[in-house]
Amino acid sequence: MTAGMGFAPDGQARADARPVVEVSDVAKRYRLRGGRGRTVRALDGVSLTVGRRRTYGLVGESGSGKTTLGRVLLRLEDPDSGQITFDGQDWLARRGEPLRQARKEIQAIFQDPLGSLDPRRTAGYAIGEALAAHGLARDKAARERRAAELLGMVGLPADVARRHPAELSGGQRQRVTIARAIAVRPKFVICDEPTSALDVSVQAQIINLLSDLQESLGVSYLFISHSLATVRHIADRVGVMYLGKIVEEAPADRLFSAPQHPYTIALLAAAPVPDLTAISARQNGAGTRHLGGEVPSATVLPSGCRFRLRCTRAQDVCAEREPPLGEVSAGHTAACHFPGPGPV
Amino acid sequence: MDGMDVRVPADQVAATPEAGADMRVLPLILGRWGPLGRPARGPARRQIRQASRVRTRTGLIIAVAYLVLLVGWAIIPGVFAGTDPTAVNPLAALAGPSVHNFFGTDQYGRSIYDELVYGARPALEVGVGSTLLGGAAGSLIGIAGGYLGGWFDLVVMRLIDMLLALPGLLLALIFIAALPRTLSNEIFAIAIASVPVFARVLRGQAVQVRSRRFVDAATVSGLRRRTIVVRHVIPNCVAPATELATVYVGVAIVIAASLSFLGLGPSEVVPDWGTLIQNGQGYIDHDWWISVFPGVIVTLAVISLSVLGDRLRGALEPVRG
Amino acid sequence: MAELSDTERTLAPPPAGALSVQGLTISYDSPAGTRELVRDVSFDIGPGQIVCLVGESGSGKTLTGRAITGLVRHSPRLRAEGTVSFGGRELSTLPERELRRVRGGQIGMIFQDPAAALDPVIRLGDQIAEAIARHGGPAGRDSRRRRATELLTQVGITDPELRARQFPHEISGGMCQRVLIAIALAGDPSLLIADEPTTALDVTIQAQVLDLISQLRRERGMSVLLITHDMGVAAQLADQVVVMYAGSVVEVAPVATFFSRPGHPYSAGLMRAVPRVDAPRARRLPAIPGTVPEAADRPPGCPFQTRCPLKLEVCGSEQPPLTAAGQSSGPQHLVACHRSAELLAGGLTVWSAIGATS
Repeated sequence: MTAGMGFAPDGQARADARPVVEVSDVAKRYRLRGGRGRTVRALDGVSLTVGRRRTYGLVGESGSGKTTLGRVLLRLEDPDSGQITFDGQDWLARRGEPLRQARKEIQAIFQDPLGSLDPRRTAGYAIGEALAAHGLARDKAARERRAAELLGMVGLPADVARRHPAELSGGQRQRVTIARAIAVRPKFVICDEPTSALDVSVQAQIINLLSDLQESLGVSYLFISHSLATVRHIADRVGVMYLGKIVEEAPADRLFSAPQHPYTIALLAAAPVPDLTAISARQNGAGTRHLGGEVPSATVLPSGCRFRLRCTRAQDVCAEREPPLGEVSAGHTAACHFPGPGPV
Repeated sequence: MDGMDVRVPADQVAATPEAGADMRVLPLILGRWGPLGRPARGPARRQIRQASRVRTRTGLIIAVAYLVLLVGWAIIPGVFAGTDPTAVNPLAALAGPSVHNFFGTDQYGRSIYDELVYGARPALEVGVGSTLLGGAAGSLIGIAGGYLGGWFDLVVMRLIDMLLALPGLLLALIFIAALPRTLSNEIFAIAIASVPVFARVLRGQAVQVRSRRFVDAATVSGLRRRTIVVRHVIPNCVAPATELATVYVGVAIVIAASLSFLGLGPSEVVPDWGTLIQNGQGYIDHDWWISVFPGVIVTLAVISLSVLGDRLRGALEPVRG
Repeated sequence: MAELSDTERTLAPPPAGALSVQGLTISYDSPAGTRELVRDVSFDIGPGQIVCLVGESGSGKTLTGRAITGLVRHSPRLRAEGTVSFGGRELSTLPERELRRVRGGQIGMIFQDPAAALDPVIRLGDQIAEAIARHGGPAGRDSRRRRATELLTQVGITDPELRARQFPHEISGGMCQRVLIAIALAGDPSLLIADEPTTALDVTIQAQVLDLISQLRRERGMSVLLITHDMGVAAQLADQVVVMYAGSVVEVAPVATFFSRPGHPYSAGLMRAVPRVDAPRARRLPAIPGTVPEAADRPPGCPFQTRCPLKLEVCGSEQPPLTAAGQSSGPQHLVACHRSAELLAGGLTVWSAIGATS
């Protein structure tokens, strides 16, 4: 098992101490309204591990369940089955006041910074509130001082504390939510599409900021995104989700250079690249067709492999047996009967 | 903006060229908010104003001016009219509108104008009092139901629905009939009638607010549920509550007038507006002014409150990207 | 430009799908003075050409797209100046009735949020038929229905009869966008304006929709104005790229030239700042510092000066006009920068020096 093992940017393998978060076979179903009694299997047995000071990139399109996993980890919802261990302790067992207190260890930043800040409150209030909730600042003056410090850490001038979200740009708002998240010194931050709603020229700034904070504060990230390109630049390890399951998982460089699952390959092929040579190479060389079909309804999953209806490698066995996550090389798993490179 | 919605991107909201209306009334009202969440100062307030859909200033100014006049009538009636509206003057009975009596006189020679001025205070007391009382109670019930959900929401909302099935006047009537006829009891009865309306609206708002990201974010930050409700849910429910309350004052005034018209109003010496209208019923063919002017005054009050409520809503909503 | 008379129009068919925007300026009045949301925008689209209008929020690209079809007229506070000529006709002076026929007819439009653009209570087939009827389709319900089914097939929807009977909530986002394209095609347009058509879609579906647009261009000779913030999309589809920043056009170039030798510091910076799937993980992404200025805060001179590593004094006072980049780049490469010559000579290295900051 490669739990907790990550590859540092300089290429050396480092065995970590106990991982920060371990998710084990988590499942969550939603009952659909409308009296038809159908259920959506938003999470269908998901397992992953995030090491200390590491970033795990979770990639998927809509309906993949990645956002649901984030919410479950944040205890905004509870799973139907499975286990989650945080820092060695049973995370799901915590309830009530002990849970509230433990929340300082797991924080989050969300996709829409305007939505995740109370429009009626100033930035300083939002940060101070988080501090107050965990008794981290004695009085108003201390809160204000700390808020100014935190704003500085995310690259904002101290007077931003007096402004409301509507007065700030998208990038500034997101920095404020980051400041609020790190205010309580968490060990783990869930980033749910933190750059998707931002301008392109600002996305890079935020990604750099998150990297810097990981270095200085030693925090781990679960970076959820639909954008493979973004994930590539921040993740150490990447998991690809499809319809509630992880279908491939590998160290980041390996996943992007040698993907094994047809869905991953299709995702990589579909992502538009701002480079002419890359595009003509793809169109002429590999002859990758784009993935056809729609994402099937999450209520009626195909038998066997859930991806088989869109997969050109599908054979009979794919309809009979659901492929387990099998190891294709060290630290690299894929849920496919015929894993391997090549066109979809 | 009218017509095609030209969507200026979120980061440009500050520059959205919508309204330039200067709501001088706003600081008076908003300044009172205190711990419930002081809305923005300076540039943000400018944006909040700009985001409101104020087409013209004139309508609003007229409405506010009228309401201020009514408040003046209520507080210092002596300034606007004679000292005793109940003074009987048989010689001047049933005189039409004139320089001496702007709105004419009734069958006892009392000046309709004087009676209207003095009738403003009970009208406003009932209107504002019942709205505040019923609005506060209804809002809290609604917010609690909306935020907590579950069986509480189910049970309470079904009870509210039962009350809603009855028109406000009828509800008030039921309570008035059982209680002695004083002004406070009338306020209480009409307040009861307003509770279901506020509860419904605020429940919807609370459900919306509950599912907004910043509430999730507050939970994740580790705030206690109580804190979240008080500091985040309630302040973000104030805007529709305020708009509803403003309009409901008008509704309450009409209900009170209707009750008086039916003879079920509080028994006071100074006739209130509803009684005035009822008074002139028999004379409507020739001496129309006895009923018409009170009717007009009440109608204008309701319209002004409605206009104010509409503008307030736009002004109170914080700018959303 | 005078409108062609009916005789002229029938005798000499104008170049279909050719669009020319000249000097488009959209402004509004604020207490502090006139503010320009779009300033002096000019570009051309040739028949059968795909032009990508690339920019971030605040660039004015969406407003430009809407101004072309006269949708800005309805906003009481916005003022539009400049000319827009399409297929030989001057659109900006056309009366509303005529313009409405052009809109959705010769010029088709699709927007960003496909589900929101469809009426949720009307069946898809009927919505397409409505568009067909409005833009000179065959009379008779059955022939319109047949045409609607044809259009659904043309946009790659299988089992079109079934889909035509469905409602918007029964189909996915990608399919909604295809239906909207079908509606746009109902008027047999020679120009398609697509405003961020794939932003709300999953990336695999995005690829399908972009392929579809490309295919329709080939089959129908339709020209396309694709408004997007995604440079990758531009690389995939565009023949020509028009880059807008803070209300002005800063660069116009054929796509190959654009991606190999961008002439404007903003274009170059953006290309380096965008994370890419095919590039190995960088120590730090070379970000462009600062943020896009709002209309009210634009400084005199070049709109990009507050973030530009190449800024000179003259940039603060004179807005650089769009000029030809130089012989080596070809006549079609226009750049609005006082120092574009240096940038073209030195390549993208100008950004490396400041790449470490954010």
